[in-house]
Amino acid sequence: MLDFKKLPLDAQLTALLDGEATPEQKHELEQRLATDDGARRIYDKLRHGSEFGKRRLDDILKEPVPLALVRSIKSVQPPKAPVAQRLSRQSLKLKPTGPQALAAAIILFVAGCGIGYLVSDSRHETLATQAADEAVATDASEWLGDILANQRLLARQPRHIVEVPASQAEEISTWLTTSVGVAFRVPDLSTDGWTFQGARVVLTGGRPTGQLIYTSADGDLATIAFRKDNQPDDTEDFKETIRDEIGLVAWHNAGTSYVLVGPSSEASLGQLAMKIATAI
Amino acid sequence: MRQPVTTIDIRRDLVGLLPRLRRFAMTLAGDAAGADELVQAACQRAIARSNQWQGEGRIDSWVYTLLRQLWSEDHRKRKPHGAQRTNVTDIRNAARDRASVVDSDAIHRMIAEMPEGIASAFLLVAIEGHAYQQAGDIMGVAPALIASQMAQARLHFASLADDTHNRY
Repeated sequence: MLDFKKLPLDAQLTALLDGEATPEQKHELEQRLATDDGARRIYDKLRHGSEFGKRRLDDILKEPVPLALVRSIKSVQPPKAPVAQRLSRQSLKLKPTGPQALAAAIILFVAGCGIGYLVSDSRHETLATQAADEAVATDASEWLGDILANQRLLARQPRHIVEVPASQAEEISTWLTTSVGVAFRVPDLSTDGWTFQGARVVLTGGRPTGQLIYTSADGDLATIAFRKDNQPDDTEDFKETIRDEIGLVAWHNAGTSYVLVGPSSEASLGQLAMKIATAI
Repeated sequence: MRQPVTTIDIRRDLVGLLPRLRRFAMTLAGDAAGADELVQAACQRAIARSNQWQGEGRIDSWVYTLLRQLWSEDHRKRKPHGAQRTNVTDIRNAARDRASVVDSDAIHRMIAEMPEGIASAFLLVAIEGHAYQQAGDIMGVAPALIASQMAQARLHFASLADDTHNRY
């Protein structure tokens, strides 16, 4: 606690209001308030002003946050982990003798021949792997592109966002499982403010894709999309991508790709995706 | 499948804090455009320095400090606080009946008209629940000055509230 005794009475009383007065000061000020009408009036005025000020400043929280501000923050790349500085080493002096130089040359020649043989043998294999990687990357890019286009289409037709409504839960389960080939559960996101509205099946990159569609009380749209694919298991999961007003968080599990699509202004999209990954 | 890894993405925290960051910036800059500019710069700085954030203490206090530092650094380039001074009627209009529609411009004017620093001190202590010492650390001033500013802010708001009561 700080000693506010040297401050004017209004500052001392404000410290009392804020619980910043020492027990001794508190006792003194309370005694004064009990006997001094002037001090009491200041104290009441301070309390009154505090209530008024809180209400006024709380009103600022009702103002909408500019979406451009949200996007500008979400698009900033965080710094990479700092690289540890290399320790300086004492330089070694290289002065080989004649036989040592000859031996080193022979070893290098043999090693070079061996490496050359191995490289030529694996070259075809490497090219094939590269081609497969590129195909997977293109496929993933197409899938997210199609999902994004679908989301924009749905947002423009709010009265027709589902093919089968949430009330037909059994139908949704049977229909999507057979048409997409992926067993799933409909995640309950009501505690996060998202209400399940129903499902659709669309084509993304030429493959059937299930979509579970949710809406928020503000009319925002969130979609969980999934399809069978051949993504490798080492793809980066829960990576968030922002495309203007839409945010996408993708992950992969047991031969199935998933993506959560929602408003980019939704700060907890990543956490929501992780919750869905364990529930779906 | 790999288990979801709990990662600390400071950008999510910052987006969640945006309404409060804007409000604090408003008490410094006095207008919405200046506040948004300040918040954007502070968030960029926070992300750039996120390696320094250890996840201990209040992240809002840390970002508030960055905001105040940026404001102090940039203060000369900006309009003086309260430059858009209007007459007393305009200020009092900001204190209209709470039941009416919230007039953002009037509230901004009300803050802009307050002497520099007192709206920020009031916000940090009375609303955000910081102790005088913490508020002083954020604002770069002594705790005793925070006590004086709190008294000024409360008396200022009380006079606006009285005026509202007398008018309506």
